[in-house]
Amino acid sequence: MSAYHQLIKSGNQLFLAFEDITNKIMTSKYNPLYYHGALPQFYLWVLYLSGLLLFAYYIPTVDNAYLSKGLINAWTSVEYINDKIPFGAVVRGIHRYAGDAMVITILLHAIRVWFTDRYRQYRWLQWFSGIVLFLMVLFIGQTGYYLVWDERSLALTRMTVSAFEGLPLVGSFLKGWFLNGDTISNYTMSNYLFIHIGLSFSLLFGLWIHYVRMTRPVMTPPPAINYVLMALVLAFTFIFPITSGKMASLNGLPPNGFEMDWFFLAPYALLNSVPVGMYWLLMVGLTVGVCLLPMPWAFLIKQEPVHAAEVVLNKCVGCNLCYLDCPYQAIEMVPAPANSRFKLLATVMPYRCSGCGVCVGACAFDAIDLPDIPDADVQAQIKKIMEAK
Amino acid sequence: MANETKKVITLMCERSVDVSGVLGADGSVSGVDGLHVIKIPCSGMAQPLMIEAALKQGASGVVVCGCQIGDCYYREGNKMIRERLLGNRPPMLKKATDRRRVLALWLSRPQKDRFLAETKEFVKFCAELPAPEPAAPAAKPTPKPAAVASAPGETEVKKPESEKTPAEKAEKAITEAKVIDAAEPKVAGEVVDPAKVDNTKTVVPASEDSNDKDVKVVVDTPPIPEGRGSLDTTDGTSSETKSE
Amino acid sequence: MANEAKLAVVGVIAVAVVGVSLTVMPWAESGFGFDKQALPKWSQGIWESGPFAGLKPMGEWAQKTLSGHADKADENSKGEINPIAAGNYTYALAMGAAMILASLGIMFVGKDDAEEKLILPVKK
Repeated sequence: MSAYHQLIKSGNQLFLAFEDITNKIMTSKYNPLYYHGALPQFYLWVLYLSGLLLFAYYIPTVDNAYLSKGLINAWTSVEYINDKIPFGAVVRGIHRYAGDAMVITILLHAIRVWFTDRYRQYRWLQWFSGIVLFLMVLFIGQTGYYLVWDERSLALTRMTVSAFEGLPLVGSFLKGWFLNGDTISNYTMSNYLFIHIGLSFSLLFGLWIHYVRMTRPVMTPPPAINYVLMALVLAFTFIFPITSGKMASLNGLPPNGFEMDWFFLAPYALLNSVPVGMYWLLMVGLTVGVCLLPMPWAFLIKQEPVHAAEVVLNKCVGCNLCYLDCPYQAIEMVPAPANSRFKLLATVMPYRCSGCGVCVGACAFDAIDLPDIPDADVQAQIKKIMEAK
Repeated sequence: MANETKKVITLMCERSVDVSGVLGADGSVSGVDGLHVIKIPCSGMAQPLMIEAALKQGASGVVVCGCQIGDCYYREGNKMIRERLLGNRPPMLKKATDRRRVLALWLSRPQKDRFLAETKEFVKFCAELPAPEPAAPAAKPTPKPAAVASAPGETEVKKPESEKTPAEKAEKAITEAKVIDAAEPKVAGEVVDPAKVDNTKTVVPASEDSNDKDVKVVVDTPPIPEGRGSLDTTDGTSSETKSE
Repeated sequence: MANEAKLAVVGVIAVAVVGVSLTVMPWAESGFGFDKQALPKWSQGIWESGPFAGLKPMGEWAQKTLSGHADKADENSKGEINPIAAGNYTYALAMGAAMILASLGIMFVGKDDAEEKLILPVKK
């Protein structure tokens, strides 16, 4: 058994032991680990709502001094939200901490499916789309940090631009896209806001791909868990209130250093410590490596091929039951051949099939079977046991 | 034969309780007499037909063991069989199936002790159930309507209680049996029923469990142990008679 | 648990959640300090009387630690304390507490439905 196998195995045992405890405390019905995929989804809704409220008062400009007596820009509008809008500070805190919580819950979700071996084979699409979604969430979170437009935002902007410039060929194009021009201007801020919001909504498209092969995906934790999730965010909002740094000044000295947020800004710590070329190499390598995790040829995991369920053509009556019950949308109902007594015929898409046998349990006509463990086998075993002395 | 009726068959998900330590080569479980385990990839694969077949062949009870609800490796298998057993999702158990003899457990991998304790209790409970499979069919038919009258109210109240202790369960089973016996003499209407029950038993193969047929035949019958009589032939012929 | 008992528990929890919100929030608004003027009129009498008067030292402690904490954080960004924002933070905490309470209540009541064992109902 390889070291990798050992890691997965002990990780699995860790989760089993932990879930045993949580089951004893709050029963399986309220075990948050049984809704691990729905937790980030809940935080996504929280982020949408709180973000909508912030959007109402946010002004995406660097410098709008000429429009009124006082200076109105992104930074002052954030301060205005913080101080003058009722609960503005709280909504801002919720938006920040829900984002952090989303990253934590996504990591929990990913690690659990990894350790419980629920990411390979017929689930590779979910794993791939999950990685892409996670990267998107990280990037969206980073653009959120730009939007505040304090000194940290400026530092992050400069670091990002230098990282883009370090890329061959596409570097200057990416820089232009990112700044929405050659320099930091009011258009830069509107671009940040567009990326932040636009990409957030394109998360929904990614989630559609993430969910599309699953029948009845679990997207909502039970209300009791939702309350706890929300209360956690509120508690953090109170304990560590969110504050902005000093307003970014394009003319002053460049800021040296900023407060770190490890949930979203970790890549910048990497960028700070390695050369730009190395940074991109590591980032792309890491992403591709994680994406390849479920591929058997990449990590030499010995895996049993899935023996897809098979339909017994002359027994299928086209009743739809297996099609409705299949948890991976692996069964499709097609028009039955002309000489059939029935209208529909079930067909299995083998690349989606997990070989779980739920369709066998759903069939009242013995018309679908797992090739390795046919239901006749189970019947025979029953008979054998009953006949044995 | 008497010995065989004490057997309880467990259809167990490979990924639920880890019984590898106590499981014999023939599926028997050391520590629980009469318990036999058949492993399937997911509890969702268990067909109501399999449960019926086991009971028909003289098993005194059937246990379905899946993972904790919410933690199915294949996402929904345990929820599916749960709904099927409860009669909320087709295919369901035949109405005539003795539901007291079916138990479902949802346990995660480390919960071996719980599994052994529950099954031990269940094996005992099944052994004490009155009117096991053989020899009963001719005598039994008449009591049905009476049981209908008395059962719904009583059993519904009793069921949750019976989860608590084995003693209570046994008690309930006995009282139920008494109700059935006491109600022996009855109206003429139900003479039709036994005949039809016989039909289902002998003619219709288990594998062609068409739900509407069940509904038509035993509209109001209370749960009666079914499938007595020609036990061996029913199942052996099941695959051939299907074409009928 | 019987249904009536469950209903009773639900009722108690609902009252507790509303009660916590109603009492803690004005308290939070006044900076946790039992500042009589800051409290709504209907509750002023309550805090004066009997056992509640004894809570005053506790309130002062809370003011210093809880509300003072938020004040301090708020001060960091601009060099001045904005009492409204501080009050909002404490509202948030009170809401969080009410939510925890509610979820504990729901879990307590709903726990019975979770199952590791299914006994089929005899008659459907």
